[in-house]
Amino acid sequence: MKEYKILFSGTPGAGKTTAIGAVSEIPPVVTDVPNTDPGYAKAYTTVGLDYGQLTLDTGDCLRLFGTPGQARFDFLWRILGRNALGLIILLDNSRPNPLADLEIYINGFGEALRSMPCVIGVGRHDQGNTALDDYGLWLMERNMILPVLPVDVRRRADVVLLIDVLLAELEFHIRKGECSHVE
Amino acid sequence: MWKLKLAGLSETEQALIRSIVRLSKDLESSWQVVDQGACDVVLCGTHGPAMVMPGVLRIRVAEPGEHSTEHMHDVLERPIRAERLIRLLCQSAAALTQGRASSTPSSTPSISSPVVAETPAPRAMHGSLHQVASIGRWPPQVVLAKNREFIRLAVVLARASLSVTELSRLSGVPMETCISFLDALEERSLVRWGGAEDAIPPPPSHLQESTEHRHFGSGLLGSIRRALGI
Amino acid sequence: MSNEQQIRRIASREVQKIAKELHGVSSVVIATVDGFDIASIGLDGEDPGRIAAMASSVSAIGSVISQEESLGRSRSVTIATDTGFAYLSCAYLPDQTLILNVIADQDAVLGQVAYRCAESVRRLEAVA
Ligand SMILES: Nc1nc2c(ncn2[C@@H]2O[C@H](COP(=O)(O)OP(=O)(O)O)[C@@H](O)[C@H]2O)c(=O)[nH]1
Ligand SMILES: [Mg+2]
Repeated sequence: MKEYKILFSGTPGAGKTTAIGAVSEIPPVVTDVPNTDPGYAKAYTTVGLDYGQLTLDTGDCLRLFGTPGQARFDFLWRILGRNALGLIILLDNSRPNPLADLEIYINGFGEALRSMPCVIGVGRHDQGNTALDDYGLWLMERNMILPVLPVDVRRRADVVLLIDVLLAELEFHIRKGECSHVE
Repeated sequence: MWKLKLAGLSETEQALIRSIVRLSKDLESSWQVVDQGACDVVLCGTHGPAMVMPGVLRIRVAEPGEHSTEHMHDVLERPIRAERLIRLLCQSAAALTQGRASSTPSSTPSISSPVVAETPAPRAMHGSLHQVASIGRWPPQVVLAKNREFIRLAVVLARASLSVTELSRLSGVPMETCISFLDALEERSLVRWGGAEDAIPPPPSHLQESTEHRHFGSGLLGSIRRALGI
Repeated sequence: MSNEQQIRRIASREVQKIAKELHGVSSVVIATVDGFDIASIGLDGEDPGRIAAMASSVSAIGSVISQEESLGRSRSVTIATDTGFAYLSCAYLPDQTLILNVIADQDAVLGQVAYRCAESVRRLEAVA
């Protein structure tokens, strides 16, 4: 049996735990504890990792990991991100400065983003003062192009779309690989 | 020089078509409207010929909605619009070139055949099939509009500068969709043409090992999609 | 004095005492369950905020394991390493959980640290 993993990171309260629960076939393992940080309007917050899984019809296993969102947990981002198939960054557009939030994860994951498939899901996109296109422009100023999609992670289809985008990028790498060393 | 014959059309429509062909920069050098003799394309109204010579393309002029059973590509909707006519004729020219270059001269090329799908629309024609397209930012939501294929194309273009053909091959999205995607970007000046194809960034390190690669190609992505019900 | 102030006072007294009484201890941090340090003493200039965050992750995973295996509440986690250990113990106060985290080198004796930490945990839990 082979194991693969997809990592969910991003702003506390954006919906990492919810997203994993939406696609996992097992009740997700959650390490949420009471939140004491007044910066986030949230009763519970993830401090360890969230975990869900999907069994593939090949007998292999896809593991879904969620990181804590706060920057002080960035040591876990790197540990959990190692060898991941891809990274989903979830942001909350209703927060005071979601672009500053994005910066935390762009810096935190750093160089890994140059090669690891990554997609940004923006939740509560109908709220707040940041337009969806501002995320792409903000990244462009930093010479980066990453997929940015509006999502409501309470809807399974939206979470599936995020994963599908990661798969599309993997597929591109595979197809490219097939042509460069034709078998 | 391609020859265009008109059949079963009113005087007014004939005059309109003649002047579009004469005045269009995209067409003037390559198309000529002829009244008799051999032709490459027949543009016909409701009473036009039901059959045409092998190797000759037929475009029907029809009322909106009237052509529901036909390929959109073979139909010019009334009222006749210049851009649409130009686009159809450009596609026809490409189809004819392809059809005649191919080794089966007996087969009639069709505008809506896959071959023609490779013909860029007038706009994307600025960049030919072999020119390389690149983007500098994630496309705005108005372009993507939750269109899964467009999102897929943007994902690929975000990682590499590619020609239309390569884009279609690497994304698995039909050529036609690639062209309309590039058109939509072009309309907003969001695509750059030219330059060489990028050196593609290396895939994630754990995908690099060739056995892994083969394993991947042979079904991991499919099995994940099935597990998710995609 | 509010309950919260009292807890903080006891917490900082306990970290001082542990650091003084035990050999080979390089940091003592008492953290909230969501990873903020409320009292700390770092003898090697380590960032107590980071230790607090890690302590909360490790202890959360410890809790998940004891829950999944129906082993009751998690009381402590030991990470033994080549050159020392980290010892984390949980203090269950009436309305919050705290994590006492001790980082030590090979001069320290695990049994001693565990025993001393249990004493501090009792004092914290006694705050009513
Ligand atoms: N109204 C609204 N609520 C959302 C949206 N996305 C997520 N939520 C809610 O926000 C909360 C996110 O919590 P959680 O999944 O624990 O976030 P985490 O900290 O990222 O793990 C859940 O209660 C979701 O139902 C959205 O787009 N709109
Ligand atoms: Mg969470």
